Amino acid sequence: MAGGKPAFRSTKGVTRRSPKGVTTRKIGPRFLTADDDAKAFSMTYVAKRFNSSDVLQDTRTGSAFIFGEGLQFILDRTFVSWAGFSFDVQAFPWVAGGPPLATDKFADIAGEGLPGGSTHSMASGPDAVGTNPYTKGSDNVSNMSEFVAPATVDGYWIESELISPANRFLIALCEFSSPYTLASGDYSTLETVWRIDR
Amino acid sequence: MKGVWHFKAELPDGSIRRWTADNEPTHEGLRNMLDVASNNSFHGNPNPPAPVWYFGYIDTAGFTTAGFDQTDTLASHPGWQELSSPSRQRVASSPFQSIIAADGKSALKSVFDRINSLPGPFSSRGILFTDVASGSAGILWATADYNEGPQSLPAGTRVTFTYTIANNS
Repeated sequence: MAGGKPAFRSTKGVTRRSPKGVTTRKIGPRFLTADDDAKAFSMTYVAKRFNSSDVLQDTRTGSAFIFGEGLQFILDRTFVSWAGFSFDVQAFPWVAGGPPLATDKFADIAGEGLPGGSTHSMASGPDAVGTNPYTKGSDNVSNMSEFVAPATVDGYWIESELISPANRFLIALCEFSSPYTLASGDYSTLETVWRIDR
Repeated sequence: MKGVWHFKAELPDGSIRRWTADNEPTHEGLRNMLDVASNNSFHGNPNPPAPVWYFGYIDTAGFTTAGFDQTDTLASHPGWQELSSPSRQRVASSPFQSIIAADGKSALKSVFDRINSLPGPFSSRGILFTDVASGSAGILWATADYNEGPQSLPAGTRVTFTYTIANNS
């Protein structure tokens, strides 16, 4: 938790007395709100563009935009719902067509910028490390070589895909502060650091 | 990655008791969550998710000033000891996916179960959440101290619990 305020409060009811004289409290879980000074999951990124001679041309860094179904996927993946299924964490280039929304599903991105190239599997990275907060990085997506024609890239989507049954979950969008253009022969890499807090 | 446990106990005399515990994930629990969520299955994922989760009761006796600690593991937890009876209870497979807040910035997931006729009497002051039915060769995902203090329960008590975990951005 980033601040001193609890991220989850469980006492929104009042103490009352049951007919049998046992003290109980009416309670219930609730969603976190903007008032809660906490961020459980976040991600940073470093994107680099190289020319065909492997010379660095551009670097973009920032904090990724997190989608609700990404938050959902992390919970579901850990706690049983997707146990036994094999997912492929992927990134693919984004050409902006509209602002991303936290409520977006995978199908929604068609209206906000179709990918400009093929998807790229992310290499299996190192195990999570650190004390609090925990980080996992740097997973690399490299050799975006199918951008043989000059293409403007506004960022990269990161998703987790299940082949069968087909299912795709948006996790994050690495949205560049300004686009970069891949010239013929250029390629790019993307490193992400996933972070989770108590 | 906060959460809360809600317990409802139906005692043999017909009375109902409710209490709660705030979830405190351990270091290895959070590491497990990142590893499972971000590793690539098609590239030899060494960290598949646990297929089953269990919770166990923490003894009222044997609790020391060390208490609960984020570095606790099943193999090493100097501040507390686990009750051997009741044994760890398997959490039912989650019957539904997590839900997302209307603004998409938070997700909640709940698991629940009902335990019939616990052996007893016993007294506990908290619970643990792990992926192994017994022993110490597993992940201690979280511990939790009862907000209402230690609970003494007679034999034959039926307990229903709901465990809700929140993830936000």
